[in-house]
Amino acid sequence: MLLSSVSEAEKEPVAQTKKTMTLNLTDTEMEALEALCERKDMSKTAVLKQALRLYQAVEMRLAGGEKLFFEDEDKRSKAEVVML
Amino acid sequence: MNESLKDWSLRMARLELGQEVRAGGFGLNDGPAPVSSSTFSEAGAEPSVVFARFVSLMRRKHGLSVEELADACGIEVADVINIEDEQLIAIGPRTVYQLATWFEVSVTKLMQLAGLRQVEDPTLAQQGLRFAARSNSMASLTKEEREALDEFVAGLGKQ
Amino acid sequence: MSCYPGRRYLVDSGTQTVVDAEIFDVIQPSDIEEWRLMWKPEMDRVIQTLQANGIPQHLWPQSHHWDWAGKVPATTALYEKAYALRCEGSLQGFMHVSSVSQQCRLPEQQGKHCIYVDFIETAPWNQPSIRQPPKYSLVGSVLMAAAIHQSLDEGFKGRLGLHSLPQADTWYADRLGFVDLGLDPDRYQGRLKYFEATPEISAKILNGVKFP
Repeated sequence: MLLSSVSEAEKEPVAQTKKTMTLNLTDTEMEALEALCERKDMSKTAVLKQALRLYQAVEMRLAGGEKLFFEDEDKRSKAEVVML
Repeated sequence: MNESLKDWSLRMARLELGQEVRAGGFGLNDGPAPVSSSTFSEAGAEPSVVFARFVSLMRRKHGLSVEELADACGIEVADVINIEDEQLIAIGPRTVYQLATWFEVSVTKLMQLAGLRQVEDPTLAQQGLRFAARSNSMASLTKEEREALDEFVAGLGKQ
Repeated sequence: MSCYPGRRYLVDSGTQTVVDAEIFDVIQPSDIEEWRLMWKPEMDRVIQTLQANGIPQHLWPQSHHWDWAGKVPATTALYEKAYALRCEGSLQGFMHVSSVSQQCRLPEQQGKHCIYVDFIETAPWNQPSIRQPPKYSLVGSVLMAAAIHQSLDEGFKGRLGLHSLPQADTWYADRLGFVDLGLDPDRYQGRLKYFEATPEISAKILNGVKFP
């Protein structure tokens, strides 16, 4: 009977290692970031990390052959979001 | 002083005791509901209430227990219990068809009442509201309940 | 920042004592194998018994057909995560969450991000509808606490969202204090209720406890 490997019980808890980067933003970009922070009640770092997750999620589904649409229920219209 | 993990564990275990822990729609299509019950909602009477009240009163009008009605209609006892408890989530078309046939009312209209079909007749919601308002869950039918039921049955019509 | 694997406790329902457990923020192939070899056969046995006794399908455990093999996230995925909870050498619970599936709907947190619990399940022998008393209690709470921690780590302040299976509605609403937003007409054919936790509700669940 196959059970999990013994080594799992011996693993020490690990916080993921992190790397630091510096990001230069224009005034407009910073304003946009700050507006998102306000709306989402998140820090700048949290907003940028969430943006990365969303970007990756979209990219993975596009890579799988799916398409991304915006839908306007009132106007009954769909517009494809073309990702470069 | 903050709770220790051990104390938290014992406290939360007491809260969780006897509870089912499940979330997620595995096996369900992740899409919108197929049937709109907006007409009923607009009229202010939830379809499950009207359907439950109707089945319950019809059963009592015929002097039947839950088991006897299920047996007479060829449906599950649990289905009758769930309908009368307004739990329609797992009630299928066959059950409603069998009930409509036995009660001698319109299958189409009873399907609408059970939320299995788009509501086609806007007056059905109004009739349902009036019926639900006049009926209650007493063990035996009062004269008023009998009148309300007879009027609603007439509105549902024959098959 | 949460650390994994993390030391936790479960409660042995028979003896009412705490037992050591471990939570992992990844589902290994060996976990899926154990699910296939231990959970699935047990659930299949339960369903066969229910069928033989003529119990209607809507009274069966509502997750009896779940297939966790298809729910393991890609190792590089940032936007979804899966958890496995083990105790005394055996797999006891699974959870799959997403950071991007859902935005909050409660008016006071509308449009804000949350950790959405895609799926959560405890092993068949821990389910009260299958075994009385269940072998272990607390699996659900430990996994929900992990979801709250992830929400905090990702800057969502503890906000959570999930669609409950009907058999579990009272746990989320009454025991955990989640807000019941009712049947969701836009998902799962309108058959499941959607629940949310605010930062305050999540803080109350964690109650200031320091999790290792």
